[in-house]
Amino acid sequence: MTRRRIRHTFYVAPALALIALFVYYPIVENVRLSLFKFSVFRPGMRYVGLENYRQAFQDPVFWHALLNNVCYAVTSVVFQVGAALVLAAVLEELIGRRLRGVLRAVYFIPAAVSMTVAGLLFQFLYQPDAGLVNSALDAVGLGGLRHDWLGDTATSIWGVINMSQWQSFGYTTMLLTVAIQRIPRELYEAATVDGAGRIRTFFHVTVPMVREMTTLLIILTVSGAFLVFNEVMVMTGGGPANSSQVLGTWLYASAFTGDDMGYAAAIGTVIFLITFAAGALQLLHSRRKAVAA
Amino acid sequence: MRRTSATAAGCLLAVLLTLLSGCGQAPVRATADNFQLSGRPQGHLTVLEKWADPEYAPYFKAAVREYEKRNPGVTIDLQAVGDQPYKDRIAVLAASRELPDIYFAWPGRYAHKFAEGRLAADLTGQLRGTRWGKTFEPDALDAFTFGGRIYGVPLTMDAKVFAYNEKIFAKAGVRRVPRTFPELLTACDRIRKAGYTPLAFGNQYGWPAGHLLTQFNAMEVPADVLARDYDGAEGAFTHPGYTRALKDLARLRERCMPAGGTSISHESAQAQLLYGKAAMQYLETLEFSYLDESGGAPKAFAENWDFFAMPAIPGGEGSPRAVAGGTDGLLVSNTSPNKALAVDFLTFLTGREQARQMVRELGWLSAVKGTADAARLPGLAGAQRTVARHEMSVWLDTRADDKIVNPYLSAADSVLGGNTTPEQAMKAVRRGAENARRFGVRP
Repeated sequence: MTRRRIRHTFYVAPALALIALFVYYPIVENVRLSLFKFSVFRPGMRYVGLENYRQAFQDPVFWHALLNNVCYAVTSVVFQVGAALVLAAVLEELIGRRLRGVLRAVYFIPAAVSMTVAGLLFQFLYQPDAGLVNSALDAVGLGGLRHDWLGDTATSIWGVINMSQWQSFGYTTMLLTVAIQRIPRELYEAATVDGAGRIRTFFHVTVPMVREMTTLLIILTVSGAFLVFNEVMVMTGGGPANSSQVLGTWLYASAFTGDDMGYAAAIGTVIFLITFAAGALQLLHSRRKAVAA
Repeated sequence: MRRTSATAAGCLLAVLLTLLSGCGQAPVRATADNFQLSGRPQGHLTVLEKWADPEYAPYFKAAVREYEKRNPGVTIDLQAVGDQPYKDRIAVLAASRELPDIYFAWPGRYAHKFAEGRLAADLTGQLRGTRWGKTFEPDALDAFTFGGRIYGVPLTMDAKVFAYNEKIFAKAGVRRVPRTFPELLTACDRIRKAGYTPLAFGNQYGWPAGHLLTQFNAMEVPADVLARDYDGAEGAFTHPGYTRALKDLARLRERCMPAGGTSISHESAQAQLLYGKAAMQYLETLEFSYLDESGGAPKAFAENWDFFAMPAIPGGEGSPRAVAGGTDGLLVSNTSPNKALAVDFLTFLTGREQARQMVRELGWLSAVKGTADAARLPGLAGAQRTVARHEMSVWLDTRADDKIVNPYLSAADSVLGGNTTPEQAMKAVRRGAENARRFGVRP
C-alpha cells in the first residue's frame, strides 16, 4: 500500500467508524437480539435460536400486518407511480403553462403537511357521525354508503392507505413531471408526424423515457410501504382488533406493550430483509444502467 | 480492489460480532437499602411520572417547589409525560438500567415487573406497620405488595363508574339508577326511545373496552380463577364466565352504545355526555374534574349529574361487589443512590396535608386515609364511599400477563365491532394465552 493510499484510508477512517457504529452496529445487534428471549424489566437473556421467527410465522397478527404492508405497497405503486405518471403527463402536455404551475402547487401542498397532522385531519374526515366523508355521501344522496371507516376491521387499513396516497401523490407527480420535462421534444414531434395519438405517444414515448424514474419510485414506495408507522399509530393505533397493524406498529406493540424484545427484534429483521431486498434491486438496476451506458 | 473492499467489510463485521458476543442485558446494580437520612435532606432527585395534562401538571410542579423550599439543599428534576410515551420511556430506561430515582407505576403485573426485576426498591421496612404505612388505605398498599413485600407508595385510588345526566334519565322515565345489569339495559332502551344516545363510548385506543371487560370478568368469574388465568396459567380462560362477560359486552353494545365507538376516542365520546347528547359514560372517578364547570363542563351538565357503579349481574360467579379500578403509585428505583431522600420526598408528597391538597386541587381520591373531606368536587365523597364498599378489580391491561393483553383487547374490539361472536373471541383469547405460555419471555 502506498503512502498516499494509507493517508486516504486515514482520512476516511472516522467516517467509516461512524457508519459502522450508527448504521451497521444496530443492524447486527438487532439480528443478534432476535435470537434471544428477554424482557427489559428482568435481568438475563435466554438464547432461543430461531424461536422468535417461528413465533412470527405462527402469529396471525404478524401475517395480517405483513399482508397490510403488501396492500400498502401495491396501492402505493398503482397510485404514486401509475396514476401519478398519468397526472404528470396530463399536467405537462394538456394543461396550459400558467395553470400548470398552480396545479403543481395544489398537488404538492399535501406533501408539505406533516404526517401526524395529516393523520389527525383524516381522522376528523372519517368521523362516523360528523365527519366530512359521511356528510359528503349524505349530500350527494349516497347516505347508504355511510360507514365507520376507521372503526370497521374491513376498512380501517384502507382508510390509512388512502390518507397516505393523498399525501404522497403530489410529491411523486412532481418528480415524474421533472423526468417528463427531460424527454427531448423531438421524440414527441416525431410521434406526431408518425400519426400517433396522445395515448399511444404516452405509452410509446413518455413511459419508456421515464422508466429510470418510475423504477426508482417503485423501489422507494415499496420500501416506504414496509417502513410505514406514523400514520397507522396516529389514525388507528393498529386497531380495531389489530386489523390495521403493519409490521412497524406490530414491532412497536410487541416491544413496548408485550415486553417481548427478542420477538420485536425478529420482526425488525424481517422488515430489514424486505427493505434491503428493495434497496438491492435499486443498486442492481443502477449498476446495470451504468454498464449499459 | 473489489476483493480488498470485501475483505475490509468482512473484517469490520467480524470485529463487530466479536464485540457483540460479549454483550448482554446489563445487570441491575442495586444500591444499599439505606433509607435513613443523615442530617437535613440534601441532594438531587429525578422523578418521572405520567401526569402531564395541563390540569394536573401544575399541582405536581407546585408540590416539588414546596419541598425544595422546605429543604434548600435539595433539587428535584420532575418530568411528566403522557400515558403511552411514559410506557415507552420507562421501558427504555429500564433496559438501560438508568431509571429515575422515583417513577410511576400502574398496579398489578405492571408494577410487579419492576419488583420482579429488582428494579424497584423494597419499601416493606418503611411502610409495614410504621406510622407512614398506617396513613394509607390497606387496599392501596396491597396493590403494590408482591410476595409479601411492599414495593410502591400508593398515591391515588380510582374506580370505574357510570356518570349519568339526571335530566336525560328523568326525560326518559328512568326513575332510579339501575340495580341489576338487565335494569341497566332496560334503561338504555328507554333512553334511546327518548332520542338520546344511552352510553357514550369511544374505544379508539382499546383500553375503555379493557376496563369494561375488567368489570365483567370480575363479576362473572371467581376471583381465584381470574387471578390464575391473568397470570398465564396452563389451560387458562376456559371458565364459562369469560364468554358470559363478552356476551355482557355485546349486550351493552347492542342496546346502549352508539355505532362507531371503535373509531372515536374516549375524550370525544365524553363530549357527547357533557353536551347532553348521551345519557351516560363509563368513566374513572379520576375524571370527575372534567364533569365540573371548573374542568370545562357546561353548567347544564355540571349541575345535573350523578354516578353509580356497575350494577350486579344475576347469575355471575364472580363478585357482585367488584368494581374495575386501581391504585396508581410511585416506586423508588433500586439503583438510586438517593433512596433515603426519595423516601423523604414521597413521605412529604403523601403527607396528610399534601394529600388533602391533591384531593382539593385535582379532584382525585387519595390513597391516604381521611382526606376525602377536602374535596371541592361534587361526587368525590360519594366516590370514596363507592371505593370503600366495593372490591377493586385491577385493570385487565395492567393486571394480566403482557402477552394476554393484546389478544384480549383485540377480542373485545371484535365483539364491539360485531365482527365475531363471544365464543369465537374467547377462542382467540385462549390461543393468545397458549402462545403466551409457549413463546413467553419468562424462562
